[in-house]
Amino acid sequence: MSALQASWRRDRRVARRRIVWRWMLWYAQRCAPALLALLALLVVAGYLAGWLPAMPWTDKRPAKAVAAAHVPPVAPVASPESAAETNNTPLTLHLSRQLEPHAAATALLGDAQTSADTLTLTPENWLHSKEP
Amino acid sequence: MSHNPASTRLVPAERLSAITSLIAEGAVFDGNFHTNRDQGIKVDGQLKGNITFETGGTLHVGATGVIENTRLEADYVFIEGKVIGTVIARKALEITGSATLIGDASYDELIDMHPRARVRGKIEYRGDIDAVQS
Repeated sequence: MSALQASWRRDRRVARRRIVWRWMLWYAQRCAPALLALLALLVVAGYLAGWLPAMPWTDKRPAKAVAAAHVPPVAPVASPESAAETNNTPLTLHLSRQLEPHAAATALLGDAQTSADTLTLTPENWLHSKEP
Repeated sequence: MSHNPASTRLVPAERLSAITSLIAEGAVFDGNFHTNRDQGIKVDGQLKGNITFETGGTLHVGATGVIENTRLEADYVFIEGKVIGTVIARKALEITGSATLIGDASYDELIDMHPRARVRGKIEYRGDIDAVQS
């Protein structure tokens, strides 16, 4: 008798699960077009309203997101009057050493020029020469 | 007896409680079951063969039961699982929402079928179709 009762319990569990699946399938098939249309409407509305992030197939993002991404950090802008008050020292011009040609670069350039002028065939490279 | 699944069903609860034979879930029985006594059998496993109760008899196909290539005959037939074959219920036939019946079924007195039951076959009333209903 206990086996029969266990069997009934199992029957009830399996049957309930199977019936629920059958009802769900039936409702899904019956309401599939309406559900799909509603989902598509929500997606389009969300995209237009900027609720959704950028779609993977588009390179554009919603206007709000683009604007927020490209806003540069706001630096405190001092008014001209306050700048004039703080910069009391007059502007002076002075020669910067960085603008002058570097001594090492000059030396290298001079060496290359002199070696090109004095290039001649030497016994070490005669096998690679096209000269007879 | 509160777990009896037929307490509010067409097949009487005492008929299901009187079931004495059981093919358990996971078991496979290949052959015929035949008796002249008013007994009952519940099939939770798989059965390939016929079940015949000459007189009386209660057949309960559980939700996990599968009966193939069969001819079932009993007074009360209660199907929750899958049956492929012919079913003859001399008194009452009940097909629940979890059941699948592929084949013809006939009954003499009462039938109850859930709207989600899957039946592919003919349902035939074998009684007097012109009898005056009380």
